[in-house]
Amino acid sequence: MDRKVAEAFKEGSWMFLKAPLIKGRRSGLFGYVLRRLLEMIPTILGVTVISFSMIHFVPGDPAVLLAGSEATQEIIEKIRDNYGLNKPLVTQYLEYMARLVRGDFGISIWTRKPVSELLAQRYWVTMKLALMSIVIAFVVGIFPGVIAATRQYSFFDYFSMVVTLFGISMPIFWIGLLLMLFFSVKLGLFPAGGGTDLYTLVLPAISLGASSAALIARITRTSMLEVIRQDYVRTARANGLREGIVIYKHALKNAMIPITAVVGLQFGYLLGGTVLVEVVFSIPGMGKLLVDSIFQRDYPVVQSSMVLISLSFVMVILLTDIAYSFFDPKMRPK
Amino acid sequence: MNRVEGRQKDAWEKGEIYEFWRRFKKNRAALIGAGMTLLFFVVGLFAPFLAPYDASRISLSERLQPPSLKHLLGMDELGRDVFSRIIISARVSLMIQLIAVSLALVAGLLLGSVSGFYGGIIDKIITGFMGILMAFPSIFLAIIIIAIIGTQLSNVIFAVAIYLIPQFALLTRALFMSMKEMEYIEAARAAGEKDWALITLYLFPNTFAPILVQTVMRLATTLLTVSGLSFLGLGVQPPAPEWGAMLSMGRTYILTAPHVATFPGLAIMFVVLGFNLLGDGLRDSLDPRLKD
Repeated sequence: MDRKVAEAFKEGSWMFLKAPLIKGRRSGLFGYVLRRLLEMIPTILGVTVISFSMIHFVPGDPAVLLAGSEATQEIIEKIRDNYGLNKPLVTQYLEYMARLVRGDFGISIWTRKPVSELLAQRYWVTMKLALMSIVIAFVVGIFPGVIAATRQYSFFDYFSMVVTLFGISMPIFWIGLLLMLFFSVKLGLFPAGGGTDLYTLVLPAISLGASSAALIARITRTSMLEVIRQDYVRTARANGLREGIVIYKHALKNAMIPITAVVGLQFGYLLGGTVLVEVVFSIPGMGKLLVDSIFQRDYPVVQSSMVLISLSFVMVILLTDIAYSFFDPKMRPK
Repeated sequence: MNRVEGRQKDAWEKGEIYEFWRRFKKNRAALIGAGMTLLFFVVGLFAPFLAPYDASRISLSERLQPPSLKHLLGMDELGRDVFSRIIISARVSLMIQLIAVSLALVAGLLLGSVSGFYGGIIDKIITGFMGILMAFPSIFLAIIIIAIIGTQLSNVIFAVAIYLIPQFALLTRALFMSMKEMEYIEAARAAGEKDWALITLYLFPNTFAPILVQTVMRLATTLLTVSGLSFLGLGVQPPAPEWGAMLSMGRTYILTAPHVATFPGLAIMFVVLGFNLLGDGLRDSLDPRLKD
């Protein structure tokens, strides 16, 4: 196996997913960003095509689906007219895109409110939750990883690797339930969910970030082990630098490169996990809205939330790639 | 022992399988993982014979009873034996995992090998499609597919398989791309081997180790995904027993009867942990270069 693939495989066996996404920056930063933006267009088109055609794949008349089962014939006809459901599919798609670009996501069947209004309230709740948990995952994950690597084969090394293995193996919703049972019901330290303020989001963010923290700890360990064996670390030590400075300033800086490379993907994982956590803690976010809307057959909401979630994810991947190309010297234009 | 047998024994002792086994059996964590996985398979296969009670028998007078000698893990919200339901659920989970991962594996190998071997426009199209699938972060893709086609068991399996395809396809693609320029492939091509022979006879055998490890790892995440879907009410539908669905029902009684939600969670963790340990062990033993 090629060394690069082998490495990617070692680092959690999913770095390869990133491989087609990471591309060298041949031109300046501006050109790189422009190129990546252009490359995103097919993905965005694909996502919107799926979300658009969803209403046509679900069994039943699209107009009835969009109007809701209790709608009168008059309303159904009005919707058929408004959405141009009699026109050819391509025209319908173009009109759908035109509405999306204008921020018109349709009317929710269940609440009779504009979907954009519903999403605006809930989008930031989910983003706040995902951001909090990635921060937690990072802070909690890096240090055990570094310590485990600097003391390879020590008790701490084995202990932390066993703990992280458990962290990776526990279902998010179960961690959430256990945390809720212990910290809010038994100890009364945190509210059991229901709100959107930072304090209420602590437990959900921990349950969401736990497995990412475990994964980051494992990647940090692998990455550090490789770095501290290299010559420049030995040179730094030979020059009489203190061990703390060698590890945290010189070694960790380089070990961080593969770690930052996976932040985007981890963010996607966390974004997906928000659905489960929001349901466990009854947090009014996008995920809970999506699941509720599926049960209520509120298709306009389902369509729009999936577009919004996937576009946010694609943007995050783009941002981390740009950051990565900026920090990793190998990616810089020659 | 005659001479031929002796030679075969030598070959075995020097062979890769022997080397693999020698490393694998020294790896304690891997053996524990293999044992846990084996237990899961046995329980899944023989579930109806192992369950002490009928998993769907309702006994309202015994509802939410805590664990006792008669009912080892207690009774659930309808007075059904939790232990029996966990055992029957192993069968449901095992079936979903095996079918979904096999479907994704076959599709992923096909797409990934074509994409990695031929490159060019075919590669662009296939990776483009994978990119679209991957634009829906983790479980969202499965949720969306189920929202469209419904929550029948076959639909859930289909949705999970689709969600897994990019992970197999992109790994196969990466492996093929890194290997197709190697000298032995050049040599085989020069000797007049056709493309399909290069793919199936020369490239596939060398992707075996990473693909196997990936498959074991994906069996673990598939269980997490399926139980997550069931927890949301979008996976296996009650009254069929499934760990995630049991957890979802039990969480209403988390204060009065915590055992109903706790044990299914433990079961999920046990199986996922087993697959992860086994996967790690296989990776370290199949290719020592991958070890730290």
